[in-house]
Amino acid sequence: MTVDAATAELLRGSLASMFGDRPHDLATALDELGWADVVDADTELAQDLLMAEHARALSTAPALDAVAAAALGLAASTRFVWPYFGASSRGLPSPCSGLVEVRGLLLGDIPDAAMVPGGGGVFSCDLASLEVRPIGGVDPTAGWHLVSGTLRLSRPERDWALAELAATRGLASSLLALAESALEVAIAHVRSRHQFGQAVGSYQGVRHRLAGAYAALAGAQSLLTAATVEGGLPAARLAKAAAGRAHDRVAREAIQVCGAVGLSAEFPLAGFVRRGFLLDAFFASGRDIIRSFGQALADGADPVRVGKF
Amino acid sequence: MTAPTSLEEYRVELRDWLSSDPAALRDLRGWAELEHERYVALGQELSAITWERGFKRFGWPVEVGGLGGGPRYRAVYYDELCAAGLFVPEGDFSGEVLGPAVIRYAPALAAEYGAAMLSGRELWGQGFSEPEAGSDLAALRTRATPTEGGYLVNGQKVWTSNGHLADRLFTLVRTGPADSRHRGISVLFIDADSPGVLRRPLEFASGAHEMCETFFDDVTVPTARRIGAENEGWAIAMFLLQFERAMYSAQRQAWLLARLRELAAQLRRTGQSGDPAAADVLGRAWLAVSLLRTKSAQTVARLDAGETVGPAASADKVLLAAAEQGVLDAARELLGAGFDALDENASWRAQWWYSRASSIYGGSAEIQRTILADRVLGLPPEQARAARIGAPS
Ligand SMILES: Cc1cc2nc3c(=O)[nH]c(=O)nc-3n(C[C@H](O)[C@H](O)[C@H](O)COP(=O)(O)OP(=O)(O)OC[C@H]3O[C@@H](n4cnc5c(N)ncnc54)[C@H](O)[C@@H]3O)c2cc1C
Repeated sequence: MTVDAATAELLRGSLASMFGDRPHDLATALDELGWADVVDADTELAQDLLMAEHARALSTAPALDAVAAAALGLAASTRFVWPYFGASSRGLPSPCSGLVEVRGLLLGDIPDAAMVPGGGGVFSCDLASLEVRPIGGVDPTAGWHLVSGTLRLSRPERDWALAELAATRGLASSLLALAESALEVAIAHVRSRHQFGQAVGSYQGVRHRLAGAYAALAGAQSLLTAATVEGGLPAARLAKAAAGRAHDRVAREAIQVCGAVGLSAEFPLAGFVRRGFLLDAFFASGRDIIRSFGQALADGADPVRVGKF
Repeated sequence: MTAPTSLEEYRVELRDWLSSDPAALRDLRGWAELEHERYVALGQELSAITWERGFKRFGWPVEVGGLGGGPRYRAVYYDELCAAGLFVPEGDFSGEVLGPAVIRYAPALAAEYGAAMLSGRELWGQGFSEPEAGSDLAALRTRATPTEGGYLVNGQKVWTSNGHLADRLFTLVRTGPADSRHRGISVLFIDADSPGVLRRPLEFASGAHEMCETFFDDVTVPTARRIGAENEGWAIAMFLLQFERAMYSAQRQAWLLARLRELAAQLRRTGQSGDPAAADVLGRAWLAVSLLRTKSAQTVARLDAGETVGPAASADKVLLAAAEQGVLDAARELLGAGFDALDENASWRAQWWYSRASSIYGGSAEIQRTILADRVLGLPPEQARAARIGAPS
């Protein structure tokens, strides 16, 4: 079954208002929206829309957990301890059984139990014995927590690779939505802000910065679309790195053309910029991904060519 | 290969044939070392071989000897040629831009000359730019005066890629009043050996002779050689621009991916492939080309579906320049002083110079950004401009 464009737009709207309402219980809110049916009809589209609207709303609800849960066939309320910055998106290094040192991230509020990826699967864990504290970093408004301590692990369940793929794509969707939002803020600003008797958006220097940013964004969007159609983790990772770089480019140009207000925390731009920086650094950072592609090329392994004619 | 076949079957058959090291292609190895004129000729040989085998006929209409199937087949063709260590024939760069316009606006000329061009028997040049008409193409002055049965052409073109080697020149001429801008332009398909046509090769900064300037001195061109109606030239130029965005980008990404693999191989030979800083540079270049690849694939698919490719495709041109310059700047950075010093890197240097042109030819980086700002982002117009770019003023 497929979801047509009009239905997708309706769904986008519903998700936007759902996140706008700051849901306390994301799983229930998704349930009310008929989320599970959309996932059944078109999983990739459902996840793309969810992560895009989550990002646009700068929501703190654990949407990535819902994406991973759907990929693993678990309840939407399932929570995860995500790999810490710089750690592999595969999860805990193997072998992981017995007493294992855990250091990970909770994306949102603190549940009693969560799944911890490692050893190719996920482990169900009680979080009571772990230390949990909010993280600072570039975007403290994300509501993320650092989880650390020792857990006793037995046998992994499920196939984490499915969640890893869905989460990688989901993060790319979020990054693109954040970049798009930042670009929209900048466009609105340069149209209304006048200096020297003209809208600053009529100056070529300003126009060309935003046009270049748009092109970078359009390229990254096409890469994510192709990576989703063609499948596979390497393509999804390249799409995430591309989305992160496009976001970074948009952020720089948008800040410049907005002037001082672009750097103000009270102006809507900074929120989109900070959240994007956080997501780019998370779950295989854009830098690490790009280096791994470059290293594969240097080693003579032909990296995946994303994009089919 | 002659039977109509699905795109996927086509891809596989072409790939299998190329990887079987066919004897017919063996003489084409070593192309990278050739001077430009020889390289162009070798490209024509390659086209002749693949036309004969049938592969090149896919994606072109039967009216020009093709087997039908749409532009996606052509994109696959170039993609596979480069992946197999070959190259995109020079004639196919202009062919992809001019071919569809001749087919659409001058079916009789397409029937007469299309197959000759596609099969590598003749080469076409794109005579648009003039000394006083670069970015502002509508300022062109080469004049075509009506005569009995045709036109008398006088004027000058410049920067015509491979123009000195071309058999026919797809030439924009002024048929309206001097100040008629885009309203008074027509297209003539001029034989390069017509009396009164004088061509002078121009030496590119790399030392190669890739372009020429052409002088037209009372050149007689019959009406049958007009493409489209009189004064329809601007519409034809805009039509052709879609292919210049989509197919040219598809061709170049194939070429650039192959160059990146070659650069990596060269780094391995010199023991530089383990450096993480080199991996960063290579990775960024790979990403830049991947963006061009996926974006151009989308745009080619839209052309294939018969959709009009609008101003948003200016983003493809911006991505093209970023990819070209990303790859060749990576080579320049990673090959170090040897890039500029060593004879063996002459081909890299020539390609580096050409990469700089990617933000100039076919509508410069600035022109593309202006189109995007005006027509995609809806930004306020520039105040100081006399004429809108890329659209009738
Ligand atoms: C390798 C190569 C191959 C080529 N092949 C062909 C060919 O086959 N056929 C053909 O007809 N032509 C060809 N050209 C010519 C090409 O199309 C022109 O170079 C191009 O249109 C730009 O014109 P120009 O060089 O006169 O630059 P100009 O128009 O003089 O521009 C100079 C600079 O000013 C900037 N500029 C101009 N107008 C504006 C504006 N309104 N706003 C902001 N900046 C502006 C430009 O971006 C550029 O940076 C080729 C060029 C090259 C380099």
